[in-house]
Amino acid sequence: MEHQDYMLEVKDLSKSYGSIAALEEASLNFSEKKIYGLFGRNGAGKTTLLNIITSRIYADNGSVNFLGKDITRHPEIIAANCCYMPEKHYFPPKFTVRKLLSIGKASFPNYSEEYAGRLCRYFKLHTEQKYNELSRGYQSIFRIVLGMAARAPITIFDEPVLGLDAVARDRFYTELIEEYTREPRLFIISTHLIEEAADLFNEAIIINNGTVIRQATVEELLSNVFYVSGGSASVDDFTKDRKVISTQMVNELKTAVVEGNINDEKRAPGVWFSPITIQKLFIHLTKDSSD
Amino acid sequence: MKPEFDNEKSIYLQIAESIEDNILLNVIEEETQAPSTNQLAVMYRINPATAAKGINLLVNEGVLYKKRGIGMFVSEGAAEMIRKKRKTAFNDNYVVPLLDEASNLDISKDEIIKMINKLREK
Repeated sequence: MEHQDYMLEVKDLSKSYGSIAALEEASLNFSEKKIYGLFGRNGAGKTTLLNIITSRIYADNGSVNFLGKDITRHPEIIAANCCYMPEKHYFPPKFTVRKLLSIGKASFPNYSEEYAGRLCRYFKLHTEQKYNELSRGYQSIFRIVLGMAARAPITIFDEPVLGLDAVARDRFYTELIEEYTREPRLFIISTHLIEEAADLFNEAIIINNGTVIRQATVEELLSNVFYVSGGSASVDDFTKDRKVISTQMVNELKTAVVEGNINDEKRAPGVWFSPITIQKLFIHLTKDSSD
Repeated sequence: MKPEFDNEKSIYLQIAESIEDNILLNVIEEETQAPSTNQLAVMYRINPATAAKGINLLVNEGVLYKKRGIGMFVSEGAAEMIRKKRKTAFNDNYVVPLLDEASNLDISKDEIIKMINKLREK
């Protein structure tokens, strides 16, 4: 990887819960003012990674550096520069949205009250409602409002669109891009809705079994993999010297997911090529033999 | 601008093509301002870097040019440039797949020409 000054450098993080390894030497980098998508299956280690980056828990091994400084030794850096909206957030249940937002205002130096108000109106979030009376979707909306309005240099959302309907999700994506063009900053967003969110990101990070298996632009990921289908003998002949990610057979018709750039391929007899989607690529990369 | 992208091509290529379509159809006239990176990013809710990549492609081809402090403009002669480029690609993009499918279906060259002539009469 070419040298770059990263805002956050995560190196060889490992973390186990008892005998279960949540992270195994996970390494990745985040540049300032880019939007990152974090993809991984349930239990892949996404939340553990985010909890360590934000100093909520400690890693067993490895390091996280913010502009060259180890955050374990300087947890105040994260407190001052990061707004993390975890999937599970235990806000005082009886507090109203208004009260919670006023706490946000006191906690984040760049917090914009004007923007928070605009977001509440945009998402129709009623500020007099108590947090525990909000529906699952509206709890997500509240986290979005607070996370966006905080305007922290590092803004992290774990599953921000959980429980949101299609219209609200689309509003979030649009708002994210608008806000990013106004106030560029580092966003890290984990989501299971890969296909619909993929175009938002500068880079996608795929984490599997506690390890980062891909970090690249979606464009790069997709330009390195494609489908080859045809009669099984023809497909086998085509793939014999190639790296095959997975294959599927229906009677004599075979489809293989192979590495390579579809645009560089010469038309071969008896097989045809087609592009893969990011969601399908994710599935092929992360499913295991028992799936 | 087209409302949605498909999965067949990279998003940045589709951004560039969409701007080209608008120039060809004279929706965006020559020597007028083209949509900005941020406008495209918000409109399609895509990362601005992707929108910028599409615009840069057109800048490199000379279809768009940058006016300092204002933004991107459509070059004089851009429509002709796009037409020329697409004519060159027409063979690969349209004629080759047409003949492939015709061959799969045992449609002869004469039959294809008949079909074209019939459409032309309308």
